[in-house]
Amino acid sequence: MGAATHVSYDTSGPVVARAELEAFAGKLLEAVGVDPAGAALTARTLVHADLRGVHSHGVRMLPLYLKTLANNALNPRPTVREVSSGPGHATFDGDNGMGQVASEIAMSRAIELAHEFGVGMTVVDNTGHFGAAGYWVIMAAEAGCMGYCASNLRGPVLLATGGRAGAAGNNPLAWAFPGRRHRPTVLDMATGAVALGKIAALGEGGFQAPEGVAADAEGRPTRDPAKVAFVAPAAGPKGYALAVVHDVLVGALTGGGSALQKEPLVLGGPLDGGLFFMAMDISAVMPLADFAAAMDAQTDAVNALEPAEGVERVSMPGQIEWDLYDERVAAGIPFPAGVLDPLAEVAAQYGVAAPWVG
Amino acid sequence: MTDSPRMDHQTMLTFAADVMGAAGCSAEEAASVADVLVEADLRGLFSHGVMRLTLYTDWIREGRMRPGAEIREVVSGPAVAVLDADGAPGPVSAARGVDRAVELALAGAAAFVFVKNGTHFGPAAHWALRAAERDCIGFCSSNGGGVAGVLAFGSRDVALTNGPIAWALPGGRHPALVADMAVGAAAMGKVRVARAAGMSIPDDWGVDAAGRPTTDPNALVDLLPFAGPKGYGLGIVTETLAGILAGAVARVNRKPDDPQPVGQVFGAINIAAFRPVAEFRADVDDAIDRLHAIPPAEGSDGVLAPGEPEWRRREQSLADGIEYPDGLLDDVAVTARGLGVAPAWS
Repeated sequence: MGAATHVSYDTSGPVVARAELEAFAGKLLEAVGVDPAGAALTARTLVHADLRGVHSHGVRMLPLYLKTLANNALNPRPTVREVSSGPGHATFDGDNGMGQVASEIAMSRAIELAHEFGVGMTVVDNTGHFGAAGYWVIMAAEAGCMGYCASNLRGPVLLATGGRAGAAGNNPLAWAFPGRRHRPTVLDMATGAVALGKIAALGEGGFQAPEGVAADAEGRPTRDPAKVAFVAPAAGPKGYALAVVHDVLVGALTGGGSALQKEPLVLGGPLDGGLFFMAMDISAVMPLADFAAAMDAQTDAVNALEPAEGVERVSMPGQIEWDLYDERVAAGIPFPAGVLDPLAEVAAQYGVAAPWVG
Repeated sequence: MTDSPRMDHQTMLTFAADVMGAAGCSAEEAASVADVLVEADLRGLFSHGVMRLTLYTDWIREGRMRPGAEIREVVSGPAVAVLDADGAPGPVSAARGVDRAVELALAGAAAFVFVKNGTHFGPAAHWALRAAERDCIGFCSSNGGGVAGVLAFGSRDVALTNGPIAWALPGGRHPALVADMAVGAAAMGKVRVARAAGMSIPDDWGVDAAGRPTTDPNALVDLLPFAGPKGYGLGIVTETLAGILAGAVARVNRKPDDPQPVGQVFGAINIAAFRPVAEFRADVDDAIDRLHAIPPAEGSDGVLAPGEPEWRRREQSLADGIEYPDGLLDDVAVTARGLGVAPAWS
């Protein structure tokens, strides 16, 4: 999100066109047995993150997805099942499939329920990783709704305030609101000071983690991406409270438990994920056109604020990512150096040609 | 400056209700306001406690808070409602808002109630907890009408009010899990506490008139968002939910002479729509037990669940009385005397 204001993007790696990358990612997922529809959807959501500059949640995730699928720890052809439903709500079992497959179904349902009742809420138990949380709330915003979602997984990697071990997953929390002239305002934040994926991406690029955001297995501060076992909560007790409350909210509503209650995480093993989606139809509260105009006015006013030194423009949450999205849809995605290398290796093993190699 | 008085909470409830009554509130309104403020003091949230009586009674005099105002429901739907509080005392309209959200949620799944033309309602957690007492997950936010703003991330200018955002999840054996935070690096009330008590503040709370970080609570003009883009992002969520959707204006679009109406949002999720309530509560208890089992960091007395420090403080205050910081109640005493109410502590 807005963090991009202070991050200069490394774009010295290969440039890959969106369509090529989506086709490649889909083919690779199909190579390990994912059905074509699930593969195409997952590919689209991962590339969407790369288009928005959120490489931590882009195709960089594929080697781990493939490993998990190859280990039979993730179901390549899930049947997402509705377990219960009623006015304004539904509960699904994700059949331990790709989180993206369950998320598409569950957020679509929340939006449908919102259009009927004003607010719709769905939860999913038993899924894999769902990619960038922002993708799902953008779906709601594009349907004239406020979107709100959260998720949890195995692996309490977020350091407890006052503790030497993890208290919660470094889970995302996302909200989106529709505009009209401007694209949806999207807050997609990890509750930790930084995402573990971002630290890993830094490590892959040969960089150190920032000071004070990560700890080793003993809970001691470290900047070495290879030693990082825990991330510090954002703003200490605030991030800790946001993380625990959402992890437990998802876990206690799905019955799948919070990260502290799930089995330990094994890399390439099942994630035992829980998902929570909410949509609120804006027009149940006020005319959508009035709301969208007010959001546009908020964005215009924020953009007109005086930037701090070294900042080009003061942005709304998600706005910088939309700027990147437009550029990259037109001109291809310039990846950071090294980020795609592990993916190219895995693709070669499956006999799928990486479009940026050769 | 008076020494830190230790006060029985019943005495403070009577005192606060007497002050609000003398300022023009009905007995019911006065009791509602007193309950919220003294509950905040019991939890050690003095910035949202009886020290607010001065502000509240000033607002009543200025006509910004209107005892006896009629609260009307202007939008009604199966899962959404909008109330116009017409300036009613914040705790009165907030109670209406939460109760309506819970009612709608219990008839379905999740519900939001937006309150327009509200006034200050005390700690946001109070209202999230009110929903949690009725087998719901509670949510609450407000776009505060306070004087200090919060800077946009990457800017020298203010984009946000320092609104709170809060969630509460009911437990069983354990009290509720609570997250309640201002989007700024600190609550302005905490800056006021520091001013009243003559203390300095951390240098990452806010900036002075020249835009420089300051440790002097008297020099602080605007606050910084917590965790940079994260607090800023949640602040935009708050301005949108509790501002635009609650019929107020987003802070960044306000003109300097705007009357600053306060908007509020109350959310409730009906736990039973998803899970048997007893199982949900047992899971929350188990999660809290596991937090307690985390080995403490050096210098820490142990890991507490979010909201637990305030629950502990409350228990202690109920048993031993509320221990007010030195000087905190001085202004309130002046306010009370001005309304013909004798301060309970002198």
